[in-house]
Amino acid sequence: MENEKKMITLKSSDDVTFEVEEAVVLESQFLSHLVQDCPAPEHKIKEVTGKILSKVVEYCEKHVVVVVDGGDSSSSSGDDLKKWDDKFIKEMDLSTVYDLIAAANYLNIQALLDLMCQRVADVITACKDHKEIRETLGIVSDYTAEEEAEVLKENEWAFD
Amino acid sequence: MSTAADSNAKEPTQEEIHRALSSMWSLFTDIMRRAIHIIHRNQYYSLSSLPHDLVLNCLARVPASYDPTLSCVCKNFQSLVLSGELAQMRRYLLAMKDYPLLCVFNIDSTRRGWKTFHWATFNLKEKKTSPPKSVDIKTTQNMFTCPTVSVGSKIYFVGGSDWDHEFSSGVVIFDSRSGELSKGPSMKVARKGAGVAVVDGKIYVMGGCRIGGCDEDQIEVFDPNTQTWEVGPLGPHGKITYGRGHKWNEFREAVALDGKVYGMSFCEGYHTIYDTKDGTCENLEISYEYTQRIWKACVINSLIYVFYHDIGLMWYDSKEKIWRMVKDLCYDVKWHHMVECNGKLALLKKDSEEKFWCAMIALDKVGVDIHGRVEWSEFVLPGDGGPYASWSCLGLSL
Repeated sequence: MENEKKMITLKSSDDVTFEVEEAVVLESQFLSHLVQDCPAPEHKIKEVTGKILSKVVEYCEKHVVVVVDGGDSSSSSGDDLKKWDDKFIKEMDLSTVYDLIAAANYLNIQALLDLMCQRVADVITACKDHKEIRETLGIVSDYTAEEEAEVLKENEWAFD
Repeated sequence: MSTAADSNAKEPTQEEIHRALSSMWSLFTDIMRRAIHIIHRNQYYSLSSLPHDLVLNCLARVPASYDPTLSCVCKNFQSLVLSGELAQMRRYLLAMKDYPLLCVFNIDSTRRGWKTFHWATFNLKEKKTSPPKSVDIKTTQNMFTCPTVSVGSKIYFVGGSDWDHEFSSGVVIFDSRSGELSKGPSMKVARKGAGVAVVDGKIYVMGGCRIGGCDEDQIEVFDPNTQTWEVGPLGPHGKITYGRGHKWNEFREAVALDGKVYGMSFCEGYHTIYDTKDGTCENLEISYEYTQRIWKACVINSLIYVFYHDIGLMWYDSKEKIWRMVKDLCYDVKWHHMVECNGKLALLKKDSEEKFWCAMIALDKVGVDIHGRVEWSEFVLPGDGGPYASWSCLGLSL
């Protein structure tokens, strides 16, 4: 017998609503507790904007565990998922990545948090020096000119 | 006259003014950043505006070799490096990561002429061995000594073995999840002793063709996702030159690093570095003495390690183009297998009682040297030696 899919409505801080299947919500530990504890038809998530929640929903919908006949998710679907993840992060600017890190942390979606933090790390690793890291990540240096000269000198062995 | 009056009268130096201005500026930008953050609720414009533990989570995924660079970015990053918080977070993340399985396998012929593939996996996280299993081999391909690589949970046996006279274009795939062997799509050309390595999830197969075979057949690339073979890029004039300018080659071992395949051959001057991006080749320097003793190779933290039998474990210093000994390791220098495991080296050997041992070795860089440190060692297979007479080992993901 076909199980009827239970739908749940999520509402962002700026009142954008998303109707998703229950399985999608279960990807988030925070939301699964929320849904179990309070059976309201609609759940407001005050900490996340519509723009970011749409990304979260997109990610979770893709990552809902696909169970095939054998009860085991096939390895090719794992590879496809990885490709999809790559595309998902590459199309995103860094401020969206930061917002998604905060949202994934709040909603407790470990895989999404890992993916986004790794993205930031990859961006840092691709930078050629500390100045490029500052520029790319939008960090304002709080070193004075002398302090900077000193810290550069201390760490100079690391630069060729 | 009084000291207070003296200091008041003293003009601030240009340096002091500059320092005061720059600290005011950084205070101002900080206030502005916070203001913007408050205005656009839930919006983060800079990495530093994220909560402390999340900043740490991102930075811990940057390799530790970047720590000096990170220290220069801002005071907050510097304190994360100096306090050891970053190092602690890295250890935590590593502990969370899924450890791979070591797959010990062997191909053996029974009296009736049937061939059997024996295998067992060792889970490095739980340090537990799965019950050894066997499966019959239905192909005639020599899987015994042919080049093998692992991708995900599968092992690929590619073409013929350099021990044979037979060339083969066949591919056999072992799926460790289902425990089944299957025939994969064949290569375009038959090979034996090809150099096989995985770059960006694709299997690169280099050389091992018949002498006088055509240039365009030298490199083939298999994509496990699409299950198709394609011809790999070749250097200038559509040609490949192995080592110091040879047209033909067979390989003993091959590894991949930074988009390049490092093929180690049987003869000095034939070792080849092939760039998978543009097909250009360089000679890989391995002396005659070492060439005779190449046994196993792997890549750990962007360094190539080779186990030379009767010499021991060495790493390749690509700047100086020389091989250096890994220091502080005590072991016999006979036939060890090695597998990369989350930035560490699993060294496997069969002892005199036919039991299989695995030692997990951390490799620490100290100045120009690499020091090996045994973290633990365990039995991998109790082994009666029988089915695992000539064994091999590869890492698999769960």
